[in-house]
Amino acid sequence: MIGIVIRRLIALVAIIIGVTMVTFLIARVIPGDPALLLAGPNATPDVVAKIHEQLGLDRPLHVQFASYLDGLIHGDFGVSIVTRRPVLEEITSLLPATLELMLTAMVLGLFGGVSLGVAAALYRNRWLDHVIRILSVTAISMPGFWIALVLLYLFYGVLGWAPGPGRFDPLLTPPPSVTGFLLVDSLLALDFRAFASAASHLALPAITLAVLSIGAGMRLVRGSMIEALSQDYIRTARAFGLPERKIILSYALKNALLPFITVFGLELASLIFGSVVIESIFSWPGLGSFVLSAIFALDFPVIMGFTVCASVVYVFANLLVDIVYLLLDPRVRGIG
Amino acid sequence: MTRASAIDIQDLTVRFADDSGWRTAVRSLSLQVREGEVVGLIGESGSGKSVTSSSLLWLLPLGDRCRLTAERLDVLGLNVLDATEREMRNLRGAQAAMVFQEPMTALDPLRSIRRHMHDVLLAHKPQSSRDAYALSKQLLSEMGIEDPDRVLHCYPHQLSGGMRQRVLLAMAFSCNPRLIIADEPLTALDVTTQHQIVKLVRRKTQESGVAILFVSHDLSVVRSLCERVYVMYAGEVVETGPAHHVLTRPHHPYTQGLLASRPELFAPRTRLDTIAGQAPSGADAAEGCQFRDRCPHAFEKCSVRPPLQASAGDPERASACWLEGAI
Repeated sequence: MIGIVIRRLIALVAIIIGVTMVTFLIARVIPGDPALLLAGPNATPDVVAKIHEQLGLDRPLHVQFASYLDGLIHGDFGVSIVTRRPVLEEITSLLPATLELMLTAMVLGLFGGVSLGVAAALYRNRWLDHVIRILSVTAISMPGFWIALVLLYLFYGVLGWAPGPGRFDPLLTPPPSVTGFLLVDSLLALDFRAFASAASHLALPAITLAVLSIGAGMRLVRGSMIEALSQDYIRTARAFGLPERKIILSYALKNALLPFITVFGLELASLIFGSVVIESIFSWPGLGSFVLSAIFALDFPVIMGFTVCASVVYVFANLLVDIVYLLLDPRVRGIG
Repeated sequence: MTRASAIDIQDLTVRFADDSGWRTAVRSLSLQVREGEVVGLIGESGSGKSVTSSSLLWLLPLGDRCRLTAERLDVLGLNVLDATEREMRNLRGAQAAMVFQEPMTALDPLRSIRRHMHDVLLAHKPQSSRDAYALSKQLLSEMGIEDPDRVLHCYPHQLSGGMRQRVLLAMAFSCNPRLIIADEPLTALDVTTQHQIVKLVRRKTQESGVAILFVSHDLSVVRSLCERVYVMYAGEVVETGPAHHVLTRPHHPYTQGLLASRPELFAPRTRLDTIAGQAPSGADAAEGCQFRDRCPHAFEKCSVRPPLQASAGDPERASACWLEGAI
């Protein structure tokens, strides 16, 4: 098993280098000159050429790539063209907000998808199943920004239950930063007003993101749960008088989760890129909105830095998924 | 004949719906197994043997597409027709255990043998996992498994079919049941393994006095293992009686056909007899004897369904044929 993990880790390095290369090439091939943007509309060609030289854009492509890779290895992601601050610094300062949102959405999506899927499978072809399935189709077919707007309109505009955009009540003092996650930091500081504020700000964007993965996850779990429940070993478990709860949660669900876990790792990609849009709508001060403005400004160091980070997160999350899979399924663990 | 009954079925009918309508899988079946008795239930695939055995522990997918009616359905004195879910759970596994046909799929691939066995033991009797482990080990050795410790730590995919069936038998015997329903437990196994399992089952029944309903289509195993036998055809019992008599001098033409279609090792080389035609699907609510179309002796009276009647010469035997005993 450790062998499998080590092999995966080696593959990871190759994947990350590949992603970096593709990102780098695309960034250079796309028409649009960041130097022109920086220099402004009235700049002379001399000034533009000087900026080119400063940014290293006048050197051959492979040299640029080599120096970029070299920088990455030493933790140097370049400097943002717009803010003039190191890209890595920008990313690490904004990452906790995004991770907090994504992890919350993931947990909601995981529990929502699994429990709705199980409920639908247990009440197959009855009204509860039909309601859940209609909801899931609706969730899948609605774009994220639309769900965000509807939720904002309903819970902020009409009902007034949710606070406005942002991550935290501006009138409160935020808890001292330990992990960067406001939920955790406020709990560590035993500041429950801050916790309530952070949680209520988090609710709508996290739900929006979660809805997207709940729809797909629920359908998958429903299908694999129905299949698992029809297996011979479920009949065996019933014939031996095991409690129904145990049969469902411990025999059927465990088997039904295998395909779900695999897909959940892949779902993460849509979560990462969904967060870019959702963060902008909710003015969430995270990586997503930062990257979106970088895209409009053709701020390539930032775009590339984000892409590399996202691919690292994605690839590691999928490694985690593989490990969970190995732990769950003795057949792929290579015993016997 | 004063032994209490382990299984008492009166007039059981089970019907399934598919897109073309209702099919009768089991038709007015009556069957008794007394405490400590080993009874065979034979018939070809689709004759309703498995449906009958599954209905005993209420394991059928009852609902819109599956209906069950019965005059009586008692298992170890419990009226299964009116039993609560809790009563059924106390019956299943603890008092009446079941072994299935397919050992390859009957165990959860993600659970070790140890956890399978612990689940059953702990479901019926609270005990420490140390005790459960010791008991599991002992049960496996009784099933002729030489290295129970290794097997307990295995997952199903690491064991052969024969080993898995031994594990399932160990699970079945684990709570000292008074009845075991064995639904074709040998079908998926090779002949030497079959032989070992039959010996095991015979020894265990003699030791523990457990009653067994042994569902099978292997006539020689049933003849050597069972005291009495029921022969099913198209969802009905066509013949019953002491296993040895029924399977050497059958009264019903269907049982005769079954016996004749077995190849014999030392018989002169002749063409192997088969029963012509196909078993009815149960879809058409055909009048008369279900075997009529395939029966070499069919005559006008066969358009009326023959009742299961005690044999004139032998009150222990009964068959459902108008020509009873005359052929």
